[in-house]
Amino acid sequence: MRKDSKNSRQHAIKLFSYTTRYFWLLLIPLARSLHSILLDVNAWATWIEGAWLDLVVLGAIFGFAWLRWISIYYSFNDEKIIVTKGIVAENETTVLYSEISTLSITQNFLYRLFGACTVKIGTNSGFMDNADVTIVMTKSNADRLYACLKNSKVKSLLYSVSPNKVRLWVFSLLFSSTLSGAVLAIALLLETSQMIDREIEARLILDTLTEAANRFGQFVPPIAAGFAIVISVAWAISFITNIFSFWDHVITKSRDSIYTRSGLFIKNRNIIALDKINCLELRQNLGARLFGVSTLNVHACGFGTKSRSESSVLLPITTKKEIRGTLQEIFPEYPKPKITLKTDFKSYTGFYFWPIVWALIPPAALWLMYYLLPTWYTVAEPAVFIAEIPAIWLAIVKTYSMFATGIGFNEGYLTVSCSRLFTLRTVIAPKEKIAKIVIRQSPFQRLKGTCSVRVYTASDFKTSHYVYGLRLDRTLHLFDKNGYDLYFTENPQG
Amino acid sequence: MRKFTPKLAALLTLRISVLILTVAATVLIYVYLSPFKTVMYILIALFWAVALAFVLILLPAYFRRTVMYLSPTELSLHTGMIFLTREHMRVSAVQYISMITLPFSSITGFNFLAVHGLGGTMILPFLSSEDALTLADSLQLEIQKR
Repeated sequence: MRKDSKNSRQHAIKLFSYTTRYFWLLLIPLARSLHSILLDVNAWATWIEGAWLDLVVLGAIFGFAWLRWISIYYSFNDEKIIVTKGIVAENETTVLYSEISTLSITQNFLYRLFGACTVKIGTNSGFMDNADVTIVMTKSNADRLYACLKNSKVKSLLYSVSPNKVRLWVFSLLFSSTLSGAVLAIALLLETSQMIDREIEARLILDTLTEAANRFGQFVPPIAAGFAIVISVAWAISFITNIFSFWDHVITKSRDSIYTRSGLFIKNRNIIALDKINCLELRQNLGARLFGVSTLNVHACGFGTKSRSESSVLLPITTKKEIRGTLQEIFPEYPKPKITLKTDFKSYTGFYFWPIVWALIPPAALWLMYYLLPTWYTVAEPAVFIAEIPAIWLAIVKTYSMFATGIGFNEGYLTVSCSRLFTLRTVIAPKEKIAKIVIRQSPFQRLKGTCSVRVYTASDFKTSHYVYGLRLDRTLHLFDKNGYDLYFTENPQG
Repeated sequence: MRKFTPKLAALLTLRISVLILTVAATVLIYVYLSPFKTVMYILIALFWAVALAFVLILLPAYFRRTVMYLSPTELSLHTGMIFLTREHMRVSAVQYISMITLPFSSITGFNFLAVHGLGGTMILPFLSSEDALTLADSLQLEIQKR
C-alpha cells in the first residue's frame, strides 16, 4: 500500500484569482460610501443604511470564492494524483503518472512572492484544448509532485543541454518576430481591457502613439513614424518575451521523458513523456531560414496549447547544428527530414493568391475613403503605401516557400515542409500519430492536375499541416506507397 | 472493404427544401421590394439561378461524388461540391464516434456520423439509418478490439 500525501487545498492565493474577476463590483459600494460620507453628518449610519445591499454583494463575491476554494482539494503519492472538485456534487479525478503526457509547473512573479505555482497536467484524453488538471499549489507541494513524477519515470538521466545565452541574445535580437510581438501585445491589451475601461485604454494608447509620432514627425511623415513605432514596439515585445521566457533554459532527457525548465521572471518546469510526443516542428521566419537558425517545438497533449497561450518550444532559437545535435541525442529514432514530393511548377501562381488579396485591401479602402470620407483621403494616402509592406513581404516569403514546400516519408516518419503566413515550418511526425489526411482540389487545380494536402496530427486540439500545389497523381502514389489508400473512382457505381 | 453512399432520399429532401426556400424568398422580395421593380426582378432572378444551380447541378454532383469506404484498418470519404476532397483516417486513430440524427431521418437520410480521432474529425454525411448503424457498430467493434 502506497502512502498518499494528506488532502491539501489549493494555495490561498487562488482566492484572489477567484475574486478578481468581480473586483469591479467593489466600485459600487465605494462610490456610494464616498457619496454618503461627503453629504451626511451621520456618515457611517447613513452609509450602512444605504450600502447594506452592496455589502451583501461583496460578501457573496468573497463567499463564493471561498466556497470554490474549499471545494477543491488534492492528494498525490508516488503513482497517482487525485483531485476532488465540486460544491454540490463531488467530482474526483484520478490521473496515473503512467498516463501523463505533460506536467507543467509555472510560477509567475506574483505567485513567486506568495510561494505558489500553477500546475497543469495533460493526458492524451484531454478534452479539446484544456488541461486535464489545473491547480494552484504551494511551491513545496509542486516540488514534491514534480519529484514524485520524476522518480516514477527517471531510471537514469541520459542527456542534458542548455542553449548558449549569447546565441539566445543575438538570435532573439536579429530574428524576433514582429508578428508574434504584435499578437502578444494584443493579448496584453485584451487582458488589461478587462481591468480598465476600454475608452481610457484606447485614449492612452492613441495619445502615447500620437505624442511619439509627433516627436519623430519632425524628421519623417507622422504616419510613417507611427507605423515604425508600432513595428518597433511589437518587435521589442517579441524580443523581451524570448529572452525572459528562455533564460536559463535547460533540457534533460531520461529513458522515457524530457524535462525542461526555463524563465527569468516566470519560472516554467515541464515533464513530457517521450512516447506521448505527437510531432516535432522546426519554425523559422525567412531571415532565420536564410541564416540557418530555428526553434524546435514539440507537440504533445497538454504542452503549449493554443488557448492557454503557452509556448511549445523545446529548444529556443539556435543554430541548425545545435538543433541537429539535440535531435540526435533526444530523438534518435526520428530520421533526418526528407522531402520526396515538392510543389509542382503549375501551382506557382497560386502561392501569390493571399499576397495579392492583401495588397488589394488598402487601395480598395482608399477608394472607399475617397467617396465616403474625402477629407481623410490625403492623410490615408501614405498609410496605404505603408500597409502594402506586409503584403510585399508575404509575397517574398511565399516566393521562397514555393521552392521549399513539400512532403515526404522516411523510415516510418512523415515530413511536411510548409509555410503559414510569414513562418516557415518543417514538421516531422511518426506515421502512427497521423490522425487524418485530406486531399483537396479546387476547380483550377483539377484543370492543372494538382492538389492541396492537409495532414492532421494527433493533438488535444485541431492541428493540421497544409501543403499547397502538389501533383495529384504523385501525391496519391506517395500516400499509397506508405499505406494510405486515397485512390478512388468518382462514380460510386464504377 | 465496404462501400457506402449517401441516401438518395436526402437529395430529394434537399431539392424540395431549396425550392421551398426560394419560393418563400421570392414572395418576400415581391411583397417588400415591389416599389423597386428593377432590384426586385434582379434579386428574384438571382435567387432562382442559385437555386436551380443547386438543385440541378451542384447537389446531384455532390451526391454522385460522395462515397465512403470502410475496411478493418481504414476509413475513407470522397466528396465535394465545387472543391473535391478525399479524406482518409486510420481506424487505429479513431477515439470515439457520435451519431447525429435529425427528425424523420429514417425517411430523409439525414443521419451523420462524426468520427473523432485525436486531432481531427471526419463527418460521414447523409447516411441511411442502416448504414449509419452498420458503420457505427463496425467502428465501435474495432475500438473495443484494442
